[in-house]
Amino acid sequence: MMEKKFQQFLHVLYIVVTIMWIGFCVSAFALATTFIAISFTSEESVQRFIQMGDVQAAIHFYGITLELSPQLIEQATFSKAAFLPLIGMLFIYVLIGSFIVFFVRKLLKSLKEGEIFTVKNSRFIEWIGYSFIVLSLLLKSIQALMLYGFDQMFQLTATLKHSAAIQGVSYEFFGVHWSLLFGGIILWIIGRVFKYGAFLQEEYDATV
Amino acid sequence: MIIIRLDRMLADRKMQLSKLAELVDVSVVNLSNLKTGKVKAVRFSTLNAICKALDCQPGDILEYVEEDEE
Repeated sequence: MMEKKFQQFLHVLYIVVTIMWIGFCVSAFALATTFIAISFTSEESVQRFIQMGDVQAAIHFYGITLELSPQLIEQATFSKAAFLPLIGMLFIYVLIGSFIVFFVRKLLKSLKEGEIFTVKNSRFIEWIGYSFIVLSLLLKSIQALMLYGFDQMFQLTATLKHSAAIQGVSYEFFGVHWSLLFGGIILWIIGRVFKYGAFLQEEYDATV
Repeated sequence: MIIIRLDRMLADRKMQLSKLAELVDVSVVNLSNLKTGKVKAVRFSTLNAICKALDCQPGDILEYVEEDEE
């Protein structure tokens, strides 16, 4: 029997995760729409739209926020070749995120209903682990592509090189996010442990 | 294979399953599962309680029969 407070906690968490899941789905839809819209729109039209509107741009990265000056934004050059892979990668990123949240939601629902050691739950945990492993392999590429797309659009490195502030810029498009990979493997192991737990639970339930 | 002869013992003692469930403090559903051989294991404490309630030996309830090759 689960504690009442723990049950309440699970219930609140379930609501939070459901809201998160809706957010992820909306984001995935918005990204897919943007991808399709940009594919069928000319670069000049997007360029005109950026220059016409009161666009503000900033880079948030590892605790640092770089706000771009209006002059730099005005000079922005939109390139489909740099932007579409970025949107595509972001879509995959959001899709994996929604996949994780979806399974967490299912797991919480099972726990809420008092089903703990079941084969179904172990499979959910394993899938969350797999998603984290895939994410660990993609995250660096996504981050690098994001910065690359931004750089291409606002000519950031060219400006910085021109000012002699930096000597060179390089991107790490392929790499492994070790903490995510480690987390994914741990989750996968927990999933396997749950599978054994489900077997023990089944044995216990079939004993009079 | 092991066959449960609980139905025979209940008939001998002229006792209902619900009455036995009450005496051994096990649910009727679980005892019914035991009677129909749907369980995987029996606890010594349950066996002890059943033997006490029916005034019999474990061998009167459990029986070994040769399994068919087919």
